[in-house]
Amino acid sequence: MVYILLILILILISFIFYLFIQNNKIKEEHSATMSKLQGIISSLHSKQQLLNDKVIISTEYKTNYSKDMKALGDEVVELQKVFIDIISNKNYN
Amino acid sequence: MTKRLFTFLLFCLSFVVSSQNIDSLKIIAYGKANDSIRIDALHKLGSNFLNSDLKKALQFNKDCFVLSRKSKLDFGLAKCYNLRGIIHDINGNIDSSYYCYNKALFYVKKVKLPMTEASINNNLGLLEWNKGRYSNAINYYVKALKIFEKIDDKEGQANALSNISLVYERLHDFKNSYNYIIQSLKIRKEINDQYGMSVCYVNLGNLYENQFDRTKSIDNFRKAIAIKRKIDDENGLATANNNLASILIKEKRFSEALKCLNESELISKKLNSKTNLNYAYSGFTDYFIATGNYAKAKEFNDLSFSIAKEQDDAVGKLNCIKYYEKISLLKKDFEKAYSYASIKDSIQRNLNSLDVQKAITEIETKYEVEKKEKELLQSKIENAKKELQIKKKNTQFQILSLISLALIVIGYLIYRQQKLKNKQQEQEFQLKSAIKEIETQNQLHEQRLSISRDLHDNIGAQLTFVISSVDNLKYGNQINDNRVVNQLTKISDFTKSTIIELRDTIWAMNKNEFSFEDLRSRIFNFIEKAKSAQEEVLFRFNVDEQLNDKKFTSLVGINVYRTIQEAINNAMKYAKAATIAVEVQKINHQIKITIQDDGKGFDLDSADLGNGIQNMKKRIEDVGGTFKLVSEPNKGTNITLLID
Repeated sequence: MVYILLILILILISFIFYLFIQNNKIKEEHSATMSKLQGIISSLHSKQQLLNDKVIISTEYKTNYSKDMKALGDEVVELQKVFIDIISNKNYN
Repeated sequence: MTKRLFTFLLFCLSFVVSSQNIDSLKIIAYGKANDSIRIDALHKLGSNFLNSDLKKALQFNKDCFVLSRKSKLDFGLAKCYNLRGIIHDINGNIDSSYYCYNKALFYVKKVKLPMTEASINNNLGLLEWNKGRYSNAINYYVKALKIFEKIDDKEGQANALSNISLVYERLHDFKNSYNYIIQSLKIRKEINDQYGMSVCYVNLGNLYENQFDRTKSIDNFRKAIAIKRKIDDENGLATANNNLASILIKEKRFSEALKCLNESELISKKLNSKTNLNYAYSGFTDYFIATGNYAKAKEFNDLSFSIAKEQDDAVGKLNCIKYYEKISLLKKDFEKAYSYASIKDSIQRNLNSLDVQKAITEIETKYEVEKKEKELLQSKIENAKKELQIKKKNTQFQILSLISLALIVIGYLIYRQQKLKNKQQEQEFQLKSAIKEIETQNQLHEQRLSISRDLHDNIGAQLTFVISSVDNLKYGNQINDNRVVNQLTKISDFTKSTIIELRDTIWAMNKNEFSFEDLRSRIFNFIEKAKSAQEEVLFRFNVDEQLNDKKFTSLVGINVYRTIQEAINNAMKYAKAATIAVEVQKINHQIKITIQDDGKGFDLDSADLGNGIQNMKKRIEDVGGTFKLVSEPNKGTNITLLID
């Protein structure tokens, strides 16, 4: 009986060691996964930053383009005015 | 005869026999010395008369008792009880003897007298030996031996060893018996204890006789006799002579046997020792039967019978009747022989009945003792069993506790592991969610940028069409009106600048990052175009070679490029500069870009800076750099950009 109990104790102690080892393994695996995910996030973040920069450039161009188109429209209107003026004065050859 | 002889010898061994003068001892014992000395003297006197005169020994012992009780000295009482025990034992009062020895032990433990304690143990051993309880006897003798060894009493050690030897002899273990008696003899020789040596030789003689080695037996008896004669131990001399004579008769050495018997008779008569005299007469009877002188044999047997009768010695009487029967048979007087045989049977029956009674009593006692011992043993076994059970239960309890502890630890570890897994899963899930979100955002940005690129392409095509249409209009028709030509030129230039701006934007958006080399060539192209537009302006453009590998993001690149572009445009357009210098240097980890002109300059405090300078400042600050402008009227303008 005592021997059986002693063997049982040995088995339980072995199991405790196994659990300790398993625990450490899980921690290490988790740490590796987290590092990998952090790397991915970091890379995605860089990419996002680049895309943001491009979006900023694009947005700025749109703003400038709108201004330029407005100015171009004004110039065209001015040209039309010149044309109308020429036609009304019959100075057009 | 032999057994009684041994018993006598053993008692002698239990005491240290004093050789002091008896008279001087008496003077001390009954004089005016202090009580302790008187008690000691009385005890020595009693011990001294133990072998020769029991009545005197008893008288001295009684006096010793009175004095010890009167002076309340425990050591005296211990010694008195011990001596009284011996006297009772000699007289056959075994129970009284036990009582006295136990009382002696009680007192001796109070006063701690190791010598007396050892002596009491020795005497108790003797009692056990007489009762046939040899194992107990040896125990007592060994106890005595240990005490003697502890106090380094050689004589006591020799006595105890001698007694142990006798027990082994009784058990017919002659080898052990011989070993012990030899040890005893060796010690006695060392301390020159003549009396003890004589006792050892007597015992050795008897030991050899038991082993039928009569030559060695005779030799040892002779040695004993020689010593006893030397030390004047007459009583011992008589008994030793009797023993020797008995063996010599068996060896048919009649003259030597007769000599021994004569000496024994003489001494016994002198000492008035009836017992020894009786043995001597028995010896004579034996001797005359062996030599065929039946008349003389009968004569000595008569003398022996009378002493036995006087002493009421049944065994002695039986011995004599046996001799009578033997003599009658040898004389062929069968009628008398028959008559003696009847008497012998009668005495034998009486003796047997006495012996049987004694034996029954002994058996009963033995049975009781064994029963009690058995009960004690049983109780001990039960106790041992209980202890074993308790021990077993304790062990089981301890092991079960350990198992419980181990299970708790395992439970805790599993719980912790599960908790850890959950926490890890939660963290991983959060990170994965974040990744997914960023990915979605990035996809969205990419889609937007893709649409923007399509739009830019479309805008580019439209602007090119506008320029082409304006140029066709301008050069396809002969237009004489300067206002129209100027306006068309203005529209064309404006559209061209918009296309350039679009190309710069596409250039910035097509790359994720670009090197300083890209930026440098872009700026260089711009300067070349500016040169071709205003040939009178001198341009200088210097770039530190170390910066060629420097990388920029598209936003930083486009902002720096547009700032430099704006600064050069301002210098050409508003400052009317003759020289414009662009310097790019690496200072520590930063890039320093300087745009300097020698134009009109302006007063920073009073001048309206306008959107151009504000935009430049904003662009540089947006990318984490610093913008510095220095200008004085007629001293030109200096713009410094610092970028990380």
